[in-house]
Amino acid sequence: MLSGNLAEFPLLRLLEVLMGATRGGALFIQHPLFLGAIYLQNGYLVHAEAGPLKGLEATELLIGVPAAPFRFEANRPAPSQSIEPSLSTHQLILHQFEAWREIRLPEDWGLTLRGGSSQPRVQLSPLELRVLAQAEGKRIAQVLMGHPPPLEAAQVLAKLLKLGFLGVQPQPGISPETLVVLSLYGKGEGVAVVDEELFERWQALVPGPFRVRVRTHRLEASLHPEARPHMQGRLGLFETDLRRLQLSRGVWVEAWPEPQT
Amino acid sequence: MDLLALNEPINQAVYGPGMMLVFILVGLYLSLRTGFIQFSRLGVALRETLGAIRERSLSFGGQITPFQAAMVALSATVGTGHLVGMVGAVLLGGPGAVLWMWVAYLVGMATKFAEAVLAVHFRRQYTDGSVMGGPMLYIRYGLGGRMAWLAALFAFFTAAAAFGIGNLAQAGAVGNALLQEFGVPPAITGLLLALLIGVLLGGGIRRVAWFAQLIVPIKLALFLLGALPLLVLHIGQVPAALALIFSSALSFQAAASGATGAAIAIGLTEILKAGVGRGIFANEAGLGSAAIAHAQAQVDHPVRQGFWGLTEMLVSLFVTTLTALTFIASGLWERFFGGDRVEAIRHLFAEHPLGVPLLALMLAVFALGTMASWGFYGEEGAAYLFGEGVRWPYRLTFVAFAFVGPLGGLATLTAVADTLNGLMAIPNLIALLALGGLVGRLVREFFQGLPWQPPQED
Repeated sequence: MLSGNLAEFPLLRLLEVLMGATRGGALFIQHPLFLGAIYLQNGYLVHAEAGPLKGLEATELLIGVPAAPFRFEANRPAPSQSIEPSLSTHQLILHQFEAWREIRLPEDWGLTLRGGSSQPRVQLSPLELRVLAQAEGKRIAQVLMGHPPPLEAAQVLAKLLKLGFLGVQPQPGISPETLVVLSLYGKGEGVAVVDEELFERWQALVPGPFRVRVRTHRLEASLHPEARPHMQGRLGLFETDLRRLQLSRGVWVEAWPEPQT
Repeated sequence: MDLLALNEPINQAVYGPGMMLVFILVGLYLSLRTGFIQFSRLGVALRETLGAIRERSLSFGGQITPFQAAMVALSATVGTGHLVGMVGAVLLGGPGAVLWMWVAYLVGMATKFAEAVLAVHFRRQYTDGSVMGGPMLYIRYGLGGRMAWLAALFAFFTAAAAFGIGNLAQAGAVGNALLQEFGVPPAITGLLLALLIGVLLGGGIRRVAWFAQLIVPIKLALFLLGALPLLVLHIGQVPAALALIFSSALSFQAAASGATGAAIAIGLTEILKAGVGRGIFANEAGLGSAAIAHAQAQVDHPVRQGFWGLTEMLVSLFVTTLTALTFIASGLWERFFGGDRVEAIRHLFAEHPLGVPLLALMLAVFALGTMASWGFYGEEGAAYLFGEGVRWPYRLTFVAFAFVGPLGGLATLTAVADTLNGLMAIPNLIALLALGGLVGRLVREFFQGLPWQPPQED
């Protein structure tokens, strides 16, 4: 199994090696804020996932990741096909790498965006205004995983940051909590039940309504938080969500709050 | 009339057929109110308990983990009664008694489930983090202030009975076993027991729970070490033994045999009394004692702790069944029918590669676990009646009895305590009947994914 960090072994180089050797398998990229995976078959990209994104949108995001641990699992089949394995796709991905080289974004995508201190007299396009309106209070990674697609969003964000329309601030105190899954019965769905004390702590960290992002070994989900007493160290999930996230009682997961979009 | 003579008819009444019928009826009622949870949700119960056993060190709410609470209850339950008592039941009721014991266990599972659920639902958590719960609390807060006397009665029975079933009887069994097999003087056994029990009770529920989660696996391992070789030895007779359990469930007749050499004829009444009696009293379902331990569990919903009550019953059922099956397959039951149960089990273990000393060790370990848990039960009963200040005086008295137990000579006290132990069931069963609807509601809410709403504290 091949593993390392993209900071030392850039993704372009990594893909060149794997594609050149006509390898098949899955390249997992574990960014602190989302999980990514690129699946290869006979040296061709056939599928990619990054948080909620799939296909070429996912590769767009993953190509921009400056640093994150990765591991390659040979012969791991793709769960589905979202990328056409062809030379034109190959060229498109090379173009994505080229485009990311021009973009200057903070390396820490966990930083929170806030309104800039200066308001320069520059006319913004409708897209830039839309991103500006959406970005405040969110992490860089969240904006990149929303709309518009990652590369376009990164270009707009980089411009807004450069012009001072946006600034960044660290998200103090928000680090993933390691919780143990507890099964809940009934017809509930899309709900993450946490201890009321943790709920209050998260509420204090994230202004306004928030959701809970749950990361398992392979999957991620954004769930509606619900507080209950006597749940210390636990994350209550209904049976439907347990099946969807391929979880069972007693499994350790990471969870953290994020502003509701 | 002396105390023993006065005690005798009450003892017979509380352990008699009438009372057994009440146990069964209450168990059936609770089965109905919970939708026969012991069958309909058995898979969930096993997943939530044995399936989650790797989480045994995780805690939330309460004072000890749900696993530890179940271990405290099991430590009290799986005692000498599971060995000697089970053999005694077969000697009185024949192999058919085992079938009725199973029936009583299956019905009793709903009772134990309901006890654990109510114990968590009505428990009280104090500002220092300590928790108190059990029948005295669910009687007091579930049935209302007007029934406070009944709660106090239960607490009194528990505090007093602990000295008998949970102390003198157990310490006596340890003393006898160690004296007979290893020649340990009873005074030394008493001293060691007193020291050990003192250290355990002195650490409160957390130390008792720590000990229970250590001793219960040891108990089960020792039991398997004792029973499995004997079962293998008689493996050829096991199918016949199983067939006998079913064929002699209604009546049994055999030619000249038994302890007296006379023909064996067992009627349905004897079979039922022996089997149902074992199925009720071996597992303590209905007595309310285990609920005191379950109340301490750190759990998000009372029903989740109830599942531990069901699993606890299954473990107890497994131990009693294996004992009975081994004994019946050995054929010794016919030879000793109507005779001394201790002698019969000693003969059974004489065939074991490790011999009777293993039986002595098993009895000693079984009894020790029971003493620690019952010491805690009794202390909780006393604390409910007289407040926190009584804990150390109670512990010291319990320790003194642990020393005296192996020396013997307190037959009257043991007999009275045994009656008080049986009397614990009366207030508990009344409360279970009255609160059966609430248990049913809690089960429905749990399976609808609704959060637990603890009762308002008054």
